[in-house]
Amino acid sequence: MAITKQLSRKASTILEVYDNIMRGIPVLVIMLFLHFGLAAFIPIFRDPFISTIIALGLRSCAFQSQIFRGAMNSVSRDQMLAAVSLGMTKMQIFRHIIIPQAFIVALPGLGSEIALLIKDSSYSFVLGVLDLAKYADILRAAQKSFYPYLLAAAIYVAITLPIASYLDRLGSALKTKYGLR
Amino acid sequence: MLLDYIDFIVQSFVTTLIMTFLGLSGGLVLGILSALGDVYGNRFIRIIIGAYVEFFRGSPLIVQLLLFYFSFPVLTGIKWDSFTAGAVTLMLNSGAYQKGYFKGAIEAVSKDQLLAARSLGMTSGQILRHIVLPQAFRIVIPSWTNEYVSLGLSTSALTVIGLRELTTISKSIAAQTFEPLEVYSLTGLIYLTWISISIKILNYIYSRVKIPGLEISVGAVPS
Repeated sequence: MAITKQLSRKASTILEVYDNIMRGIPVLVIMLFLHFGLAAFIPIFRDPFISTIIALGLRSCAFQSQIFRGAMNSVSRDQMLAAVSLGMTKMQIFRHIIIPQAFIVALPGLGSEIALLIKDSSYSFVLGVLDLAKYADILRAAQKSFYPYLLAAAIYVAITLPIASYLDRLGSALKTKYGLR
Repeated sequence: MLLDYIDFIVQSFVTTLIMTFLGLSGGLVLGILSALGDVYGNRFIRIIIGAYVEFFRGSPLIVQLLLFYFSFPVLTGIKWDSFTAGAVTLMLNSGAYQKGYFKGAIEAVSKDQLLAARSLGMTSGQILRHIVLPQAFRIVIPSWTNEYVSLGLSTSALTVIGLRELTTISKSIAAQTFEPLEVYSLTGLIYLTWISISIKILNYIYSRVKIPGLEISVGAVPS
């Protein structure tokens, strides 16, 4: 998406609108919209699991396109001029100059995006998907204790934090290694 | 028809707004305090703040809400309604995120200024009050806009503890009218309008008060 954004102006306006919509609506409302609103027309959304995945995917797409756009813009203009003067085509510049650097710059952003996704997957609770939060809720109802929620929270923390901090560190390590900003 | 429910929708939207502002303002205080504690505090304070932040940033808001609404009363014996529980959870959650933003902003105020202030004989309190915070507030606005957006949208999670806010109400209206498509489109539209207008306003404010040449880059992810 981020690539398309740089290519044509008309496509970029459409994507801009998409971005703004996805950033301005709670992912829970998107899920409800897909699962209850569209299920009558598109049978696949009758499955709450699939609705969850698609809703999260749609929104993550908007967020990630922003991350990658920022990362691509961080590749300096001089390098592109140099590449053009070497006679590289647009595709070659993308493939060999921009993408490798943009990925490194995007790593920390991707890390927090993954963490966000894992946390937001708990919204599927509302649609009745049996995820970690739902299991904790069932256990709580069965045992009348507060430990299940605490445990669930601890598990989420244990999953999200290492991923985010690892990608963050990897990103800055690679940046220093290749001398990127 | 949907118009019959307009009262409920407006009411619930007001609840959503109230929750957002409660969460943001509580989070603002918590965020500033813990940012100051993290920057200037000793090792012990830093560990506590670190644990607080990691817990609230690492776990989903839904689980936090459930924990506070269902488990906290069992643990302490204090009974509270979904409104209080929701507000407290949102404050704690938002505080954890705002701490990060304020820490960045406080650290962006250059060390030279602090040294200059100290050499003028200002006390730590005065430096904080007259040098650090005024600049930090202006620097923090873009990141704070992100937090506003994400907290405003997160209020939809309050539906799990049954608070009557916009998402909860649209769920029950959808169940009553059997018109989920229309109802959820309207809900989405309300959120979208609200958030877009808020972003415009906050961006305008930022463009008026920003310090030229002293912008910190906002994280790539609006989380």
